[in-house]
Amino acid sequence: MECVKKNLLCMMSVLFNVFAGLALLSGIMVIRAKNPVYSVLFLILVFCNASGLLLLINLDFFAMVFLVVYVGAIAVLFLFVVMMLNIKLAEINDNILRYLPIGGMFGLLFLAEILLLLEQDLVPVVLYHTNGILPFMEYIMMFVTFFAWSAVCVLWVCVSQPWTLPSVLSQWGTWRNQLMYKVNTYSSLTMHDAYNYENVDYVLWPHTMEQTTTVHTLGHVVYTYYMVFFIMASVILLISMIGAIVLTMHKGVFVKRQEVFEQNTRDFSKTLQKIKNM
Amino acid sequence: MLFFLLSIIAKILGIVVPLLVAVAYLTLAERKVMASMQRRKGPNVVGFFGILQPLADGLKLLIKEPVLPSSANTVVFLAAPVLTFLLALIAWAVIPFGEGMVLCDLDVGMLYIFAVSSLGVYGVIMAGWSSNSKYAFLGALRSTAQMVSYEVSLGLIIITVLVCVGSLNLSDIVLAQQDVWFAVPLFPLLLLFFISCLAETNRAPFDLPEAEAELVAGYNVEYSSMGFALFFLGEYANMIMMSVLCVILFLGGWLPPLSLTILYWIPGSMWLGLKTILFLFLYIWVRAAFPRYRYDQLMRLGWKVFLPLSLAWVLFVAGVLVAFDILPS
Repeated sequence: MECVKKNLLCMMSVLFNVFAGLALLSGIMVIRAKNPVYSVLFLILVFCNASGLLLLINLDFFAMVFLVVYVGAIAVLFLFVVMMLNIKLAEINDNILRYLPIGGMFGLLFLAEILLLLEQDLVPVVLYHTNGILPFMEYIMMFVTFFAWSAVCVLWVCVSQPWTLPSVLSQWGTWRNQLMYKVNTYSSLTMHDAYNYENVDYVLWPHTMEQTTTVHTLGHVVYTYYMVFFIMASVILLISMIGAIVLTMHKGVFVKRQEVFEQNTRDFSKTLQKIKNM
Repeated sequence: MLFFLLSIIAKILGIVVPLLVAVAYLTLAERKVMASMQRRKGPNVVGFFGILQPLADGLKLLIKEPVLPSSANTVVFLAAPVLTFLLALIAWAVIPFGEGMVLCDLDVGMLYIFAVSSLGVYGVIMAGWSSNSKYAFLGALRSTAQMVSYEVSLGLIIITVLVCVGSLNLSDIVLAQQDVWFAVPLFPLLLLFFISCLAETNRAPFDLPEAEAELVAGYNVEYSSMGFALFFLGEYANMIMMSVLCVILFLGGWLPPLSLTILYWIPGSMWLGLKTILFLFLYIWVRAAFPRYRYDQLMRLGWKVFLPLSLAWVLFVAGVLVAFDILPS
């Protein structure tokens, strides 16, 4: 069981890296692709990866709705429009750096927002790693970061102050030992030790909890606390829909249209009479 | 871990291989049934009564030369049939063939199927665009517009059923019909759903993308050999998928028609299969019986008839459930 759990965690983190990496990569490709149709296709890939990320944090409903709404509806319209426009490829290649100032400014703004949010801890983070074994990826990352930084430092020392090299190397050795010690103690401090206390009454929390699905929970929240926002959002959508219909619906006078209702309600005997009289 | 992986692969093969065989014999059934409706014999040369005909067709498609149009966009051109086929297969992951006989019992199974079927548009539109041919492009545009339009009413009908069930899980949907199949109280919705399924899978009388008189063969004109075969397999797998969906939503999935012990001796997957065959026969029957719709009539039917009607049904059913206080908890 322990082994399966560990494998699962490891797989989750690998999947997270895959999804996030692919999303970033295809996000870059959206703006780098020469052909606008490719851009839209990469955008769809971004959406798919984002819904994969949502699945990883157990938001299954949101992931599916994301796919249905963004990929199934909005991106299809994008693709439709882009395919029909028949843009010449040469037009786009004129100057890529022209939009850099404005685009860069917006990018920096978003980055700043994200950094601010990271400080405030918007979502309460639940730590999974209570069973005391460092996930494989984290382990690797830790050592890679350590060795990369220390290599840079040692190189810098070699160039600037070569005479302090022995002391720096010994310092590096102690640091490495400290890191190894930390990792080792972390992995030896397992959940098993925590259970070894005798005479403790455990509450079986899973039995006291009520099990619901994401959809139920969401419904309970959206239709009670956030009802006003929900209705407002739908009214806004309705208004925009009506606006689009009003803009596009002008009936041409000379256009012949099929009046299905009239056709169906026409009386057969009267039709014949009309022709007879003529 | 290895055992786990192997068991998953075995399960997937256990779904996909029978599906492909079903697709193969669905084509034969289509030809045979339509032949008898038109007083012909249909394929009867290869094997007894033409029973090996689909295999011969498959072999022919496999060994034909794959032709790549020189002006086509190669990457997208090759990706489109693969995507279509892939999407037709992965939707089967959440279909319950019996009590607990399901590859992945998702909580949001219905939504998953809906999402996958709405992704199916991309195979078509990518094929049409990348072929760089007017016929293919027009066929793809028609097909896409049609699929997107009818998806709306499909979604609303599914919502109506979900309101009666109180869960998005497909097994729960089937188990909610233990007392009475939803086909009885919601019969008009079954009709609407079946017609929408016809349009969603681009089948007659809504097979406008393939209108052979106007657009040679729709979005897949430029495809030959295996590319065409993948589109074909995807289309027919989608047909079976939609029939299974009709059965699960309205005809009680794997449940026998009457709650008798004798009927429970027949395995549930058999019942599911029988009911699915009923709908597939309807598909073929409709194709043999009805002429093709005109495109504006098709769009009118989708947006001006089916959409208001299914929306009204959502409100009506939800209203009745609330008024009599029989909403499923």
